[in-house]
Amino acid sequence: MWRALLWAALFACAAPAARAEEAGGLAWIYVEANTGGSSGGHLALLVRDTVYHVQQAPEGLFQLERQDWRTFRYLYAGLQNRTLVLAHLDVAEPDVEQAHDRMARAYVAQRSELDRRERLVLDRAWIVAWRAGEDPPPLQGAGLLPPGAGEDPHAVRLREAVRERFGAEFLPREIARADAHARALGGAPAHGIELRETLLLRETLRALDAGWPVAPDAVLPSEGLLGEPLAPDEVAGTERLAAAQRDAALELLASERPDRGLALALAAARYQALSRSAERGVPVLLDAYAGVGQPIPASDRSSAATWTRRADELAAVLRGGRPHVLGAKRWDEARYHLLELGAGLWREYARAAAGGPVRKLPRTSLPAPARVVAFRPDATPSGLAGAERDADTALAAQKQRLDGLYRYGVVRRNCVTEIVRLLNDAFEGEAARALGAELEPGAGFDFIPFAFFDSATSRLRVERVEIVPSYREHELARVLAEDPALPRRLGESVTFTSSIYTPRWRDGTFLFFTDDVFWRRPVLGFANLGFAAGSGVVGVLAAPLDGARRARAAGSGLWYSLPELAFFNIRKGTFEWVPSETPVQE
Amino acid sequence: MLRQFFGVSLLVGVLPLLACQVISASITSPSDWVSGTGNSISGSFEGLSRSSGSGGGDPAKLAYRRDVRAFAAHFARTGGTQPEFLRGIGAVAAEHGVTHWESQADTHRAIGEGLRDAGIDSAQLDALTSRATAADPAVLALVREGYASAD
Repeated sequence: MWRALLWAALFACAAPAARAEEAGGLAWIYVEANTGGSSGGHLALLVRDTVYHVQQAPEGLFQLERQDWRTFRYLYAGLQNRTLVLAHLDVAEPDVEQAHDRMARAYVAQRSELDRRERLVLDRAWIVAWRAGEDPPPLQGAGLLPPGAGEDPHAVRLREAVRERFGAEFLPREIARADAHARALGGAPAHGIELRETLLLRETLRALDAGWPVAPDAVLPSEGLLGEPLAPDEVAGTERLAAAQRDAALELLASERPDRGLALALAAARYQALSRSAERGVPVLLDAYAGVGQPIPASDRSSAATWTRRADELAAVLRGGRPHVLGAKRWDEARYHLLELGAGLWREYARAAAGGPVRKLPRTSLPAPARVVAFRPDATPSGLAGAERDADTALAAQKQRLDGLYRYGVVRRNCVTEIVRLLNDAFEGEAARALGAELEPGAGFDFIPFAFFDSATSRLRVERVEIVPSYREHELARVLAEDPALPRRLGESVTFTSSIYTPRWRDGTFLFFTDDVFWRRPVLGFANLGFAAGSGVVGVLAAPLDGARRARAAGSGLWYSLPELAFFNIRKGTFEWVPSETPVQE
Repeated sequence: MLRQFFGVSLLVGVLPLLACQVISASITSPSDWVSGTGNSISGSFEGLSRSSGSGGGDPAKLAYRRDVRAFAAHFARTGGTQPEFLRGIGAVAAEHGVTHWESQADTHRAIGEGLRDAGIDSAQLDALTSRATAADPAVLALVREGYASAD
């Protein structure tokens, strides 16, 4: 049904496009299939401007993921070139809130469980290192203010402020206290997190007392965009923000939070960075991605031209946003951190554009580089062996707990069933009143995304159906509106002559697009099959030279041509770059 | 019998094709992943430029408050020690780029809201706050304010 709607929408006169984020309610999103993802499509729930969806995670678990709608649309409809179909539900305002709260609670609860597993993994790693007579793994955050580089004038000023507030003996006393506490905790895994927190606090207090400067590799270089001078308002702003960070450091010194070490280290490091910014008249920012992310293999990397476009796009946004952050009247940590993230990412893009390495970087990352902090508990070898056994037991128990809570199952606990369960749960037995019907997780074939979507749209109170065309579909409509002649149509239907699409190895070898045709699909699929087979022969011969790249692409091409023979389309092609605002139609 | 066998075989054969997306495969390439990160940051930045000077209703702050509230409710239901609670709040805040969460009034209000969501009644809240003798009275007032404002 939505195919017809899609083409009607694309070729109709362009009325102003409605945007999902303006609706601000509740909507099911069906994501069409493509290669590289799920062949049965994907399902997500849009709650206001946040998308929740479930994916398979390592170790046989499912994981609730969350993205803002704009990014979801960009990734799925844009880069992945998959049409999105949204069924906006007619739901009362308080019920939308209730659903949003339930989703947030599930998300936060799962993160909390996964964090606990990570902590237990670290507990064990520290004990294993001690048993092997090695230093423990690097301590996150300890690399911000490392020893050994003399005094920094701004750090000295911060120390003076601390002495003025708490007295000259405060820092040495607190360092001794933290040190004694760390020794008293020993190597028991039950105290692992507390030990790491205490050591980080001790190191930060030492840095404050000695006036250690921020590590050079924890600061972004002032080059290119990051070397552009600050406006007078921004200079005044950085002075205000530095003062706010000094105050934050003083508050954190008085805090009783067990994990205050990282917050304190960050406040002290940002104080130095902001003070340097005001002094030099250029932004000095901590690197939110210092020591984070694995390098992307060269074979998976985008072209230098694509990185340049990404860098330019991000630079424009950062230039517009920077004055709002650095010229602010009041300190807002989340906003300032956003500037750190944006600047760190821009640097990565710019480095990749210049042919350098590029890492897979996450959306969230605090500037907290790690450093090895030598520590060995006063424990016997048998005591450490017992501690390792305890750590193993605790980790196994947590893994079992995760397994019970989040075990993935293709039919019974998948991307459809778990979202449905959560939504039903949000209304505590009143789902029928709130949504129009109560959905049974995984009933019949409803564990399959497209089957569920059809079932949900027919049973629930659907206000309207919105189509977000894939990037190629949107561009094709635009191109054909300008030049509807047959040669153009034929040219756009072939991968190698399309003005919109550039063939990529990862998409597999194929000749004709079949997502925008139906009756011709088997014929074109047969042609795709033959083309992939021919390419496969060449690929086998070329395998020693290209690492079997062509042969693998041909294999994928053959596989995804088969459904086309039976009128099904999965493969649509993907894009290395699309404009950041992907198209939206109703 | 044969038809049934055929049907089941077909289902077993295509089942893997119908599986949900794998996290590592959901974004078609690591480069696309990084591009998505940039898009998300750009979106937040543009939102920041739009919301500057517009007063309340900052989506980022609303999202922060919702998550803290959700964590507080979850913790109150499942239980744990005080350090675990504080670490948990710290982890939730860090995901929103906040490390000094104690300085934000929104954090304390959201904790109050979460306690209400978890079904903590006012007598239990009184007992909790009376035990927190070392806590700043202004902070306790914010927690109570959040509790009272929650639906």
